[in-house]
Parts: sequence; structure tokens; C-alpha cells
Amino acid sequence: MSAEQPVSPPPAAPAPPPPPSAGEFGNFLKSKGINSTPLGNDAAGVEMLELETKDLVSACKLLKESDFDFLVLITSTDMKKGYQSIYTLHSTNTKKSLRVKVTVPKETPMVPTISHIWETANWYEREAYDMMGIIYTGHSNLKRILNPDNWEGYPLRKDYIPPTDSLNGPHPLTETEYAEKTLSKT
Amino acid sequence: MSIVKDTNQIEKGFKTDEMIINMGPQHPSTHGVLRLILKLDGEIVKDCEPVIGYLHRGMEWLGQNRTYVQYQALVDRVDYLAGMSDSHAYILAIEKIANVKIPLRAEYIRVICSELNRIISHLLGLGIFLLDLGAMMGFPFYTFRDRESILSFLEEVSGQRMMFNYFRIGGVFKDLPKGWTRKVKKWLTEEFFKYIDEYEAIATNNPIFLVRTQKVGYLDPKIALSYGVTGPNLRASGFDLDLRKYSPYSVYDKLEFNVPTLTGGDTFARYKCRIQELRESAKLVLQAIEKLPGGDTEDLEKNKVQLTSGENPVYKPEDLMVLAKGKNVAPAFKCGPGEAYAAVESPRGQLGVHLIADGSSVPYRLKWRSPSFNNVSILPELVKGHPVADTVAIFSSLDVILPDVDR
Repeated sequence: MSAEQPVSPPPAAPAPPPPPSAGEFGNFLKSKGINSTPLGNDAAGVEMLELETKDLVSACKLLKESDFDFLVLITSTDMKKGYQSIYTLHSTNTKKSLRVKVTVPKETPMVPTISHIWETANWYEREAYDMMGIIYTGHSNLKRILNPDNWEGYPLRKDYIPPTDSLNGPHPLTETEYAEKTLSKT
Repeated sequence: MSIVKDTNQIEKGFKTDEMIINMGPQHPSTHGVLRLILKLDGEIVKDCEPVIGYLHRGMEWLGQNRTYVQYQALVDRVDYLAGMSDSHAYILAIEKIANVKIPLRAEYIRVICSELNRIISHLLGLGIFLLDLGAMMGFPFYTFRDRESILSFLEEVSGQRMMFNYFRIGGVFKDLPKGWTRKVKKWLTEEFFKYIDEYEAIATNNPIFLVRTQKVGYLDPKIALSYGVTGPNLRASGFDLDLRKYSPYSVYDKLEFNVPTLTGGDTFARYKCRIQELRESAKLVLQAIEKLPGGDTEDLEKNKVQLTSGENPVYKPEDLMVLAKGKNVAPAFKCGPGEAYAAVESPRGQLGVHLIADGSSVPYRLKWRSPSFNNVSILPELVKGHPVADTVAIFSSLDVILPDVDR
């Protein structure tokens, strides 16, 4: 018996999954003139959809008016195609959840702020900026929240190199930069 | 509390100015290291900016650089007073993606331990709250004495006083020790309910306590929800949002309990809500012990064959295990690909984990939704217009744990 056996049953024969069709809120947004890409449901059955960056604020306003009174969480991720800002919304009236994703290119990670719609977004956007380097345009106080102000780099990016001794030693990136500078001079 | 303003000084030509002072990060009433930048007009707070991050340990980064099984031992440190809730949220997220079915007995053990953990957390919160209000002697000792009894119960179960690391993917670490449920039941019924009355006798009708807490730091439920405030803070404002009732996870739908909801919204209501939750949690523990499949470990060993055999067995054999399939998952347990957000009701509010798994044995992205993070963000709204001394009372009544804020 191999020790590597996981508890979950092995996945069934890999059949190509059908492209997910638009869910309830995807259709709702479409009826209001906002296009979205359906991403299917997650493991807990929550509808997920992807929006264009320019549609984010108008879509969020619509969703807030249609009972999504609770912004649970903003997650930032580093995917291959770019940085993602993921919004988990919840309605305390209908008990429904929705996950909205926005992908921005790695060269210009700019997402419009929604902190004027949900106050929760204020600190979560600061955290996403701190950790992933996503710049939320229009945010009133976009500065680092958990890391020190003079921290270099964005720790949760996949290409981040952590400092060897974060308390005392210099940051490795600084050393590299220093080496590059001295090399280019000689 | 009314503050008499001496207007004569201005008339006499004294220069008055707003003052910016720094409260913390080493202030004794900040429960860790929180820095508040206060803008004061005399004694009245005009503006407040919390500066957090002094206890940032990079929990999310650590999670993304460890396997699922390795990271289990670290999650208790996110909110060190509610280690069981932390583990529960993290394990639930994995189990949702990996579609693991948990044995019934393990679910009940999880509920018992989580609720005992809630009692510990509220007891410490209450003790510290009264301490911050100036009750240096007496009250904190009572709550800490009773907290110690529960800590030793949980130590017997998990091997540690606070960093339990007890929940496992698919169940719990091991079965309860022999005679444990009887001991807990005896302590709760014979002693703990009396102790809660004792706390109330000391604090609830104490005139000094009432003056310090009533009508101080009113929190509007609508504003609270827009800031993401959850837990007893929200329920004290009259918003009935408790995930145990609202969207039951584990076996909370099989248990009967009330969710204390008050309408005061002030510091006193938040205190009162926690006191009532103590009673509800204790009742939940007693009820879960009563319904625990197989009963105490001794009884289970005696009656296992009886319970699972015959024409109409009471339980299936797998219900009486404490781990799915009766064994731990492999160290290189793989999960996904998939995405899930799992949340539990921790003593401080909605504690969630947003997990994005890519099918390897390391989480691709793991994001904590820690309730204290949101609960601190509302502080500027609450303290405006109150004296500095009330800032301490209001902050303490939010029951914030700074490691949970900074992660």
C-alpha cells in the first residue's frame, strides 16, 4: 500500500469540461448591458464571473443596488495571464454569494477602486496593493498596510524573492541592483 | 459623558490648537501592538487613524510555501485565542475542494472543541475588557481562573494549551480521552453556569461599569455591515448574522441554540452579547456531548459492536470514526484544481479562508478573511466625539486580537 494515497477518490476519466454557461447574475448583468465571462461555480457552489476592468465600477454599483450589501473579501492572485483582483460578494437578504474577478496585465496592474461603494474595500485594496502590487486608481489612501513602508517588492507575487534576513540584512533585490549598478560602471 | 468646555480661556486670548498624539504601539490597552494616531481637541477625539502591521508574520506567504499538511500546524497562530476556529475554516476549505466526507463523530467533536474555544476566547475578552476599564483587581482573575480549567480540558484532547493543531483533513487528530466528556459535563453544569452569574453580579449592574459603557461608541448596523464587521459586535447592534444559524456548517443544524441579538449597539451591548454567548456556547457543548455518536470513548469501546450491528444499526461503522477512512491523509496530500471560500463563526466574527488550489500539494493562493481586520477598520467611526479614555473602552469592547488583524 503506498503512503501517497490521498483521501479523495482519484478524479474520473478526464473528459473535456463543457464551457460554463452564464449563471443567474451573469444574465442579470447582461440584461443591464454589461458583458461578463462565466467561470462556472466553485467547489462551494458560488457563481463566478469575470468582468472587464472598465465595467467593474458600474457592475459593482448595480450589484450593490440589487441587494449585495456585504463585500466579504477581496483576494489578489498572481495568475499566468496577469494579476487578478477577486471580489466575494454576499447578500444578507437572499443569502446568495457571487465572486467577481478582474484580470489586469502584469505591466500595468491598474484596477479602479470600489472603496466608495463598500467601505470594506478600503483596507482590502490597501492590502492587495501591499501584497500583490495592484494599483487601485481613485483610492483615497493607497499605501502599505501590513508591511513596513520601506519594504521592497510585493511579497505574494510568484516571482518575489524573500530577503534572507528581513530584520537586519539588506534585501537581495537591493544587492542585485547594487551589483548591476557597479557592473555597468566598470 | 458630558464634557464641560471652558470657553473663558479662548476669550482671554489663550491659543487653542488641535493636538496629534500617538497611542501605541506599546500601549497596554492595545492587546498587542496597535498604533492609533489620534487628533485631539482637548480631551475629545476628532479623528483617529489605526496603523496596523506590527505583528505581520506573512501567514499567507507561509501557506503558499508549505504543503497543506505542513501548514495545518501554523493556522492556529492566525487568531491565537480561537485556534480551533482557524483550523476549522482552513480544513473546511480544503475539504470542500477535495470533497472529503467527515465522520459524524468527528463533526461533533469539532463542534464541542470549537464551542469550548469560544468560551475561552470570550472569557479572556471579558477579563481584559474590565481590566482596560480600570477593574485591576478581581474580575480578570475570575475569568482567567475558569479559562484555565477549559484550557486544561483542551490540553488533554489536543496536547497543547493554546496552539491546538487538533483538526485534520477528514476529521480530528484522535478520539477524546477516556472519561473526558463526563468531566467536561460535570464542570459545566456544576460550576460554569454559577461562574457566569458571578461575573454578571460583579459587572453588569455595577454603576461605575454602566457609566463607562452605556451609550459609548454606538455602532449602526448598516455602517457595521458596510465595513464588514461581524460577530458579537454586529449582533450587539441588532443585526442577526451568525454563520452557525445563518448558513450552518458542520452539525450546527442538528443542534438547538439561540443567537443572542441585542439592539443597544453600544459598548455595554457588546459586553452583554458576549456574556449571553457564554451561556449559549456552554449549552451547545452539553447538547453536543449528549448527542455525540457513541458517547464517551469508554462507552464507545464497550458498545461499538452493538451500535453498528443488527438489523437496524444505530450508526454505520464509518460514523463512529474520528478520521475519514480511519487514517491520516498522506503528507503530500493533493487538492484541486478548484476554488472555495469556507467561513466559520469564530468568537470574533466571520473567519474565512479563500483557497485557490491548482492540483498540487501546495496551495496556489490562500487568503484569510480575519474578522478582527474588519473590526479594527470601524474604530475611527466609533471613537469620534468621545474622550480619549473612552477610546480604550470602545477598542476593548470590539475584542480585537492583533495577530488576527496582521496575520
